[in-house]
Amino acid sequence: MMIKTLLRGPAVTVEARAPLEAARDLMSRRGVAHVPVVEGAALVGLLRECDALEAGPSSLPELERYDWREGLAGLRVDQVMDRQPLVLAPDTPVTAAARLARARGVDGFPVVEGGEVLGVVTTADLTAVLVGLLEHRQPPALGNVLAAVSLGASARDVVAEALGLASVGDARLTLLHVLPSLRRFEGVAGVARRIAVLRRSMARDALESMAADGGGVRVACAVAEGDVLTEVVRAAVDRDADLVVMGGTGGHRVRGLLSGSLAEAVARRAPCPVLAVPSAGERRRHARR
Amino acid sequence: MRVAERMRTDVAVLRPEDSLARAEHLMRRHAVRALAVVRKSRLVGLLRHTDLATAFPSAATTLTRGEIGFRLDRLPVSRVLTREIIAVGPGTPLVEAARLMRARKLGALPVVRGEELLGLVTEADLLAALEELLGG
Repeated sequence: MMIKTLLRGPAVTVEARAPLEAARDLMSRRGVAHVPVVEGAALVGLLRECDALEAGPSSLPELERYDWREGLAGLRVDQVMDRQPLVLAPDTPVTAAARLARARGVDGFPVVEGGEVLGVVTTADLTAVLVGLLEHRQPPALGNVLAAVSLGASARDVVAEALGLASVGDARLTLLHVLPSLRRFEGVAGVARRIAVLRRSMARDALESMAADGGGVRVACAVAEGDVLTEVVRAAVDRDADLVVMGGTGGHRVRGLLSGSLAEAVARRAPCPVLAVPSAGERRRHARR
Repeated sequence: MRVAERMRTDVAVLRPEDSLARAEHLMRRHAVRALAVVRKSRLVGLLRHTDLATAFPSAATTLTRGEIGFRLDRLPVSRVLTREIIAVGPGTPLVEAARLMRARKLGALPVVRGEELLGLVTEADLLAALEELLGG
């Protein structure tokens, strides 16, 4: 990778005899901390923001009061610029530029080819390359993973997959089980309440036993009640999930859908991607094909 | 890649009562563009080179060299300190630190645990990481 790929648009330059004040305005307007200084087309120096600041009035009143105002107004770029900046050719490798910047304590290089000023490469441009490389290597972390767990045969596969992803992504994992509503027992209030409490605690115990070998991942367990699709989507929204992990097909019948699995239904409504983990049986079927 | 793997711990720190002259000297000696300012190992701010450059007498000052030196020896760092504390924990991904330094135009970023200063990630440390990733 060469530094010419970091140059953007035509170079912003300033004339050596220009007033420093005008150059500072230009820098702040263009949001740049370095400007190549030219006489005609030839490079004669580099103006750095820090040098311009240092030459400008002091921020401290006890120093600023000794400024000679007419002198300040008369300052020119060539009185403040670096007269011998390190200049790079556009084909310089990014690595070499980084090494040079580090070794020489330089934060910006004019880039010149055949006497023509092409622009400036700064340490900010170089660290932007670093950010790009690191993002490529390490995609944005998963914050919250939600695993919808059925407590059936495939539950362990789903939990194992979710734990693996949460551990790699450094994420918090929530294991959610959704119990069907207890409408049938509505008439017998006491019984319904006892059953509700009992099955909630059984579901929670089952989730916690699966979460026990989490290997350092922060796991929370939650039990909800009602329609599975609604509750999983609600939990994904409430818990700000970055990913939902759940069983792949399974025999769920989803209200309002003629075909397709629960995972597909969740994927259509959830605010984040959904990963469907195939059951052991499904894996075997695929292996035979 | 985490901040803890890349930060430097051998870099000087400033106290709020240190002089601007000393701050300038330390930045030059350690070749960094910002230094952490610490009171009893607690981070109280960051002094950037631009803070110093802005405070220094102008190119059109009527003070003599000796008078400038005299004043910079007596003006404390606390007069020009950036009070807003920007810092990261040691477990922060390096990419986050790099983004923060770029966004806030910081030449160095303090690394803290709680309020205690652990080290500093500098622009040079980021460049060294870049060289390694590119196989330089």
